[in-house]
Amino acid sequence: MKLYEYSIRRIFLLIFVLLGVTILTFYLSRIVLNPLGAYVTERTRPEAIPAIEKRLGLDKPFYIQYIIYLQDLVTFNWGWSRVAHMPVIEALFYRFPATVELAIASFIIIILVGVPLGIISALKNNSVVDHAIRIFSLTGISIPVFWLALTLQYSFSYLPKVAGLPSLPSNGRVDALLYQQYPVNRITGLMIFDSLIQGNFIIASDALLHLILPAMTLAFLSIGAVTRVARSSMLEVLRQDYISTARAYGLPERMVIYKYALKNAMIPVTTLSGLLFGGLLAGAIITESIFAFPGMGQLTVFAISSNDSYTIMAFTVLASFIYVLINLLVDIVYAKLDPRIKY
Amino acid sequence: MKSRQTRMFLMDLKFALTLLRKNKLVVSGFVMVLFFIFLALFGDFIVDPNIAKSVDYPNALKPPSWEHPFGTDDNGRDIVAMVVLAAKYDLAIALSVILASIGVGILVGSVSGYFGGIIDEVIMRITDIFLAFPGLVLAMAIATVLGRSFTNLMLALIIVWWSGYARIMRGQFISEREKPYVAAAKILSVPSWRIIFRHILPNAIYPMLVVLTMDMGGVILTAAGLSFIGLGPSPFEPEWGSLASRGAVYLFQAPWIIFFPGIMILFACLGFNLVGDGLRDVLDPRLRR
Amino acid sequence: MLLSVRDLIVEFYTYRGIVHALNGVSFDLDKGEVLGLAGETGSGKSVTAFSIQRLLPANAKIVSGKIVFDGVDLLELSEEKMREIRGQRIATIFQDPHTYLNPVFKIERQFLDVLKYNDPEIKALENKKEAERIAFEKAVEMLKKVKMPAPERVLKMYPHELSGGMKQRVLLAMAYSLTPDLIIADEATTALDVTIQAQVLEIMKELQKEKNLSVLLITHDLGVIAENCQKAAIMYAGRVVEIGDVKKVLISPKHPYTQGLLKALPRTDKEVELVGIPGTVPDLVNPPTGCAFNLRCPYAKEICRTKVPPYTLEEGSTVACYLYGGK
Repeated sequence: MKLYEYSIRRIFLLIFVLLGVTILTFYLSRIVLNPLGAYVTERTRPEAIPAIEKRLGLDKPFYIQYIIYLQDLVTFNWGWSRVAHMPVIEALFYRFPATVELAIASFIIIILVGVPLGIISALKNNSVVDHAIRIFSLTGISIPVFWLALTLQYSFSYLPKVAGLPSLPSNGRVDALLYQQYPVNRITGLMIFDSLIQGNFIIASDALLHLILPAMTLAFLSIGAVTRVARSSMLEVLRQDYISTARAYGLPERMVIYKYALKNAMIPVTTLSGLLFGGLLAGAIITESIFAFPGMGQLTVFAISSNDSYTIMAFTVLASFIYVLINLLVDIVYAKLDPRIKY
Repeated sequence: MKSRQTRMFLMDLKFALTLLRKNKLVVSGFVMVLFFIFLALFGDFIVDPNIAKSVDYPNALKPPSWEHPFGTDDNGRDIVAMVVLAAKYDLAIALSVILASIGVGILVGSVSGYFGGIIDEVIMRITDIFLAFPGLVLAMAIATVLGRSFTNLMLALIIVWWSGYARIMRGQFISEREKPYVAAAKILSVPSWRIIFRHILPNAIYPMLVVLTMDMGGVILTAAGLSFIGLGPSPFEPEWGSLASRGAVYLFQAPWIIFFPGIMILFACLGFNLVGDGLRDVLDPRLRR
Repeated sequence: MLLSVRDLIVEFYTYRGIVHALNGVSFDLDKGEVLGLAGETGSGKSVTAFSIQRLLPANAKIVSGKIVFDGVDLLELSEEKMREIRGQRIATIFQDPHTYLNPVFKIERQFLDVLKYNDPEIKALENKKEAERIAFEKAVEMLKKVKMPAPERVLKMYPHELSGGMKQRVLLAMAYSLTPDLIIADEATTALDVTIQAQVLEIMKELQKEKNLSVLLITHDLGVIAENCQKAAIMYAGRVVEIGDVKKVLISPKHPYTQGLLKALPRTDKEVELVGIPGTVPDLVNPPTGCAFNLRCPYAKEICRTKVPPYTLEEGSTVACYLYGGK
């Protein structure tokens, strides 16, 4: 009941934040950036401009323009994407599942590697192992994404291919020729999921291979953060008095660590992972573009290189909406996990 | 009283420094950072800055050799020279973004945290809006709108970066303002601004050192990323990210173009992160037993 | 003799240097006896308790000494054997009930886990469900014993939903459910309100009488010792400076430090001027040579600054001070 009230309050606050977000994007796209630019070319006759302005509502005061902007947002009338040759909203939704698939894949790697490393690091505090893990995770947060992506591409895809060895694919979601041979009907847009439920294991495994390099790239960047948080919260928890209680009352060390300490230590890790997942969903712009992975991020990079401001701003709004929603979910889950939280 | 406090602080500092010196990881991080700063300050004297603007097509895309240890780029420019010349742009971005952001963060956070109430509420809701964007995405949107240039890149990063600091500073101020020394200052009717800046700020900013150090690396990375997707400065202001982004096209013919600038970014960031991580250990009183 | 601690030396390795936390602690505890261990913060009372349980933090080391419990030196035992001793023979009740219960598990889970690993009867059960049920019943029964209202409901709650006194009773119930021979109560009532403190002490007294338990009662409150203990030991800078019958120690203290402590205590029976002990507690990284109290002692002699005083028997109390013995 309390949790329910807390959630309602948070959703209420969220509306304010989202309104603020739209004010900011409105300001950026309509006032700093002249929206006429998207419609006026060298061939437009000067006398036609007022008509275009009228059509776009640019002759009206700002607050009316903002209301129109909001109306358009809510009715999914997000403008025309020049790079995708279709309405922006359609382009983004068409590409969203690819981003989700990549986000899930890298998230799984992050958790499976990051959490155990952090725990080991904490249990072997100040040992050689701890230092090695520390350097590994600090390297992860220090490495430029594009550099890592290109290095992986070069060493796992290009070099083996040149040497005639088996190599990992480094472009796109699936091999195009193979896909023509064994097409998959789009159901959810998650290619691995779709091909699996249609019994198409060839495409499923090929899509999985295509995910490896981009997912590894994204994962490596965030493993460090998860490891560090897992380590420090585990260390913190192991210092707590209730751990002494568990030991003093004769519980085996195994149980003290993996049951009593772990559940406490995982609370901050859960929060962080939620935020990371939100970040991943909001688009892995650079990684997608390097691996030609057809998600929202790749579209955005195309849009940047051809000055397609509608697509860029639409992506910005969508990314922040997703991010905020995930944040909200994380907070609610956090409140549920930690019974001490007072709402 | 004051002198005792200062003495304690100095003792603390001396103690912290001894601890840091003992930590090999921190020392190596510190060396990396010093090397980076050295390149940034003296790069223009070590190599001829005109190389950045030169074009030498016959020598383009040469692999590493004795003459060009890191090879040459698509304009035939020596990569070692370019990497050295670029250091100052990266340091400039990192320093100015961090300093400006923490400045704004302190101002906003302190007012919000110290006065509380409706002021706090309004300021924090505005901050929330900025925090509602994934960092790179907002920076990207702003950089697109402002247009491509070195200053706009910095501006975009500052607009993204201040909000996090504002929130942390507010938290610090809220916990500090309840402490007895603030009450004492209020009773002696010390003016608000003086309490904020002379009394609370030094205590509140101390724990920020770790975040600030590690964020130096974060800014360099984000700037390089933006540069890479085409929102960076012009090729005549050769920041490491933009150097690397030129190389992406030639990845398979001339991987060295992207490799060496990338390594430089990695080392500079790793340096800051190692120092910051060590600082965290030393400053954390719970780890000091 | 149930517990006998001999010349226990414990050091902590910190960034500041080696902290000499215990410098040769010795005392005995008989079956059914309640021994009060008193001293200022940092005198080593809690370190002594943690050493007996072998629960010192990783940066601490037991340098030398013996802790003989029921004929066995605890310091020689394997970790697994020690775990069994901890669960089944020596129970500890800690200082602050607010932090000694795991916040993210319900009381039920924490209580039942302790029973399942340590109660011989429940451990023997093959059927997991059956074991849970019997453990639950036992938990309820134990909570009733510590006069907990509505024990079934309490078991379904999280620690933060209970008051301090209730949490301490939960910990008491957990400790006594294991039918230990020795209870170490480490400042077990310090964090509680005075009235609740009295209730908890009363419960502890009853349970102690019922099972004829030995109790090591650690506190800085000499009043608590006077009311609950048969014997009292006074610690200073990692050493027991005086130990003996509680009446003797508190009424006619021998060691200058004990005398000082008692003079600093307010009294209700007569008007006396309160006198503090001059100076401060010594820094245990660089402890003074000789008797650790020599810098604050009004009677300090030359020998006090060079040699650690041995124990001598003086009117039934054992004292470590050159004022007594071979004068």
